[in-house]
Amino acid sequence: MSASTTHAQSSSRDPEPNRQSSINSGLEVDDDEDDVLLDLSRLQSFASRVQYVAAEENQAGPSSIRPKMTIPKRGEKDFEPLEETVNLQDMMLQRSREALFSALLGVRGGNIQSISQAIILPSSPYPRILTTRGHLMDSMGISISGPAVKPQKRRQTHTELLPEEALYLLERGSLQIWIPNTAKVNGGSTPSNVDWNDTDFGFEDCIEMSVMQGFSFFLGKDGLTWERYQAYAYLKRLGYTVQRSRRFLPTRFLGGTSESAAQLPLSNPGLPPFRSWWLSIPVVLRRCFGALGTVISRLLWHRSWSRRQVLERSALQGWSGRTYSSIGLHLHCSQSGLSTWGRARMTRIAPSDRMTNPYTPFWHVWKPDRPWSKAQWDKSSAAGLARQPFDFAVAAVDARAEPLPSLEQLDEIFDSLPQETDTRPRPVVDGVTAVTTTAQAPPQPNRPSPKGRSVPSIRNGDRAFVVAVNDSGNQGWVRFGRTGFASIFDV
Amino acid sequence: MSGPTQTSSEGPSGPSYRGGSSSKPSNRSRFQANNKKYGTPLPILLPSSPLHPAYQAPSRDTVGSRSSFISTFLSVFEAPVKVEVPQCVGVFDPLTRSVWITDPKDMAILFNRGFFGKGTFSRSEPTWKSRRLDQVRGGQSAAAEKLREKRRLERKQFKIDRAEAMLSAAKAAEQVLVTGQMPSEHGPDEVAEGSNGDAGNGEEGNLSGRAASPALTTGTDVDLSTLTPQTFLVRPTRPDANRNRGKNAFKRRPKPVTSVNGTTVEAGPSNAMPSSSLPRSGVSDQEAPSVQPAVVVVPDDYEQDLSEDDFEESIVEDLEHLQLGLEEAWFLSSGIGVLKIYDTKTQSFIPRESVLALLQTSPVSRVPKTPTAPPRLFPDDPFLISYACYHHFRSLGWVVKPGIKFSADWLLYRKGPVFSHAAFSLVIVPVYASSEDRRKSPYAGQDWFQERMSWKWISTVMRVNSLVQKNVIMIYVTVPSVASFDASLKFGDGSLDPKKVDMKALLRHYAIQEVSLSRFSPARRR
Repeated sequence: MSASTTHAQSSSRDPEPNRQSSINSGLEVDDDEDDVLLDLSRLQSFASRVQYVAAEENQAGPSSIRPKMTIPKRGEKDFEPLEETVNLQDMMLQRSREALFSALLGVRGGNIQSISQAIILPSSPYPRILTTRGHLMDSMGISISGPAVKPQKRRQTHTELLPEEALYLLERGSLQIWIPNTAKVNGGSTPSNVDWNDTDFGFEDCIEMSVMQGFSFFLGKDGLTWERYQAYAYLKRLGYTVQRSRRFLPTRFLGGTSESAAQLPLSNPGLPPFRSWWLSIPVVLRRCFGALGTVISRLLWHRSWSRRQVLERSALQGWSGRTYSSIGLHLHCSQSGLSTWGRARMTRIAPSDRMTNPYTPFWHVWKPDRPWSKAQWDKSSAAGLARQPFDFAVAAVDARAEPLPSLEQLDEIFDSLPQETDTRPRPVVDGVTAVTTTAQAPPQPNRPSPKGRSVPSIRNGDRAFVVAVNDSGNQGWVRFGRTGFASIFDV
Repeated sequence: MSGPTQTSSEGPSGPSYRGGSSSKPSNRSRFQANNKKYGTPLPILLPSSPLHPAYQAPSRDTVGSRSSFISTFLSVFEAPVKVEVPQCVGVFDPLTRSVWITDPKDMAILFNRGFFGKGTFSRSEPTWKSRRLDQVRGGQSAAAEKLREKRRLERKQFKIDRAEAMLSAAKAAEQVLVTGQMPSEHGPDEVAEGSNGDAGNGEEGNLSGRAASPALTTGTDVDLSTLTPQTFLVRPTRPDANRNRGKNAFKRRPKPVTSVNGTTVEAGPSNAMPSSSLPRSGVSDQEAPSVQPAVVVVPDDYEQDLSEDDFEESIVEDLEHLQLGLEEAWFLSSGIGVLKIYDTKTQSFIPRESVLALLQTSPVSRVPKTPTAPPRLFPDDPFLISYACYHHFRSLGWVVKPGIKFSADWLLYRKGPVFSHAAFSLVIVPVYASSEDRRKSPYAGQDWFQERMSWKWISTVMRVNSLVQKNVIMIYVTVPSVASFDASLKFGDGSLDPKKVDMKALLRHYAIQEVSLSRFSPARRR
């Protein structure tokens, strides 16, 4: 609870920063705009709902005083505090302290009507939901069907929560998790053994899990590291829908999906690339004509060609063009472009060296305004992802422990990502129109195109993923995009 | 349009004025003038370049090169284009590891066509002589360097004003707090000293007690609960306040004359373009000034003093030279063939095959062998890795300049520093194709590139570049293994012979892959 409160405190600020100040303090603009612009009135209403200060003893009857929570405007830094302004500085300090303490004052509670209940039974390491309140469960939890009980034909299904979901809800105060006293409950899998006790506001012989206990219980399960959880919680708080990617879903949840867990890669890197040689016939013909033409031209215009003698023994030797783009094409010799990606997987990585790639996207994230349905998601199967393609793929790493991704790691990740569809008309390559916009466009030939791509498209690249870099709790978000500079002279 | 256009295109590259005129035609003509002077992407002149004697302005129908079979076949019967390949001379200096160009014509050729090199005493374009001449004449020149000084002074003044404004606002607020009244016109002079009771508690309760005599409380009551040090702050405007924001961001326009809060911003020579405007280091200093001279029009009064000018020009000896980096030098000499490098030790021109031997990096860890031992080249030579990247982007048409100002390796410009700011910063990451090479390599022990693979470094680079609005691109250069080279090119011990490798054949072994890094903010992207 305290973690989220301090987070709310640190991220709240005046919703309408002074325009003038944002212009003049140009350095801070980026950081300011990154924080969540919390509406002050929303924060106040939230405070009034959850803050309760114990009533004074001399007041009759239960009554709660809700202290007015004021979040002072984030001011500018005082670089030259002087003796003459001592009182002003004291006042500002006092105000900040009061704001902090008043925000933390009281006991945070919740309305019993808005709290869901879950229980951890010995049959499964994941909490099973008993009651649900609110819309939170629309995007969380995975339903598991239990064994059919004899008298009824239908199977009973219940919903279980993944560790990060359980922890997030617990931390948020929307979920109570109960742990039965194992001596009393006889290992049964049905919830009928556990009864709700109204006077105690809890289940019989069950202990409620505290948040601290929840952290120690859920972190570390099924690949949930602290960095990943923090990324998850941050995105969830902003409203995104976050789910695990398929290969990180525990196998317990994967049974019964529409396809098996092992997916055949669409292109096996071990096979030689499929070449449609007939498409390159025009190019070959043109080159033949060009070579023939060069020979004839040299015979006819010997004197003019001899002017280019000075280019002998340089890289432009043998250049016979008319434009600067032809110079560029003649000079261009490094391997580059999309066809270079993929080679790393084929040649360089020895199986013994293959370690777990920390940059493999763990989370799939959908934007908040997109309607998302669990059924359609279908536990991240290929069909589900085709119906509801994710917006971002997020990985979370520890900044101090991991270096930047190496080429092999990037290769592996980009291979698994979908192409970001580009509906602009594709550039023309060598007189042959390139294959147009499909999700899996074949790799472009290794020559630059005559018409340059626009700078924004180079900036974004065709496939991208996001990394949440966590340095002792401070997260930075970096987007890696696979780009290719394929433009040449526009002169 | 006002003023005659300059007739000689290859004149000295000094700045000059433009007669004042309305902004719209001058923008375009300024651009055209710049295009004419700096628009040629390489020192080789083709008829499509405005500087070529046979240049024709492009008409609508001659767009690009048609690429059908017939046209390629028919083009055989046309004469090949008349290519002009200048031969520039440079001197290799081993101490500074660079190539010096001293002939003014060569300096102009190499800088104006492709932005190679940097003037030693100038910001980028070698303008030292013209600035010095102007100084000698009692100068009103508005070279890039002068404007830079002016801009810095303005900014410094602005910061002083701002600090003063903040201080006076804080004092005014303090006065309000202490005496419970609005600040009078005397300002902070009346701050009561040694006042106390409010030291710990700024609530209204205390102050109402000392609400002073009614005569002192003037005007509206200041709400003490909202009092901050910035309540009375009147901020001075930045001298370049509107450059990056609003509708016309990043457009170069003449600075308007404004006077805000006593800070008067003067418009310099109006309607001019930067002759060379490299982005600079520093925190908020990222746009070129909006006022800089174009190198086009010579005002009429100068023509009268022509004879005196000739006399004076010889007074100032040009002490400046153009300095080429090693990669640029190799590109110009062995890539394009326009540069001849002179070696002072042997007092002769270096043949093109031996240039690489001179330019390669010598590993520090090895004891230098006898001078007669042949130089050995390794594929993971930092010079080669850096050069592979340079060559790649040059051949694609970008202008590549050193990026040390922004903690990067190279900067990419679309047309050149004169036309726009760099769009991309490149960070090179070498990747070894064979791990055995990495262990055995003489360069591996030094931290050429290792530290750059940490998140700490890369987030520093991203931060610096985000302030100047450049995109960071990581270039993964795959270093080939020595084994992949033909045996005829190698010495016995597995190193390459720099005299035998051909540039293109060598570069074919390198693979270049680009990944763009950008900052992702989930809060803004919803």
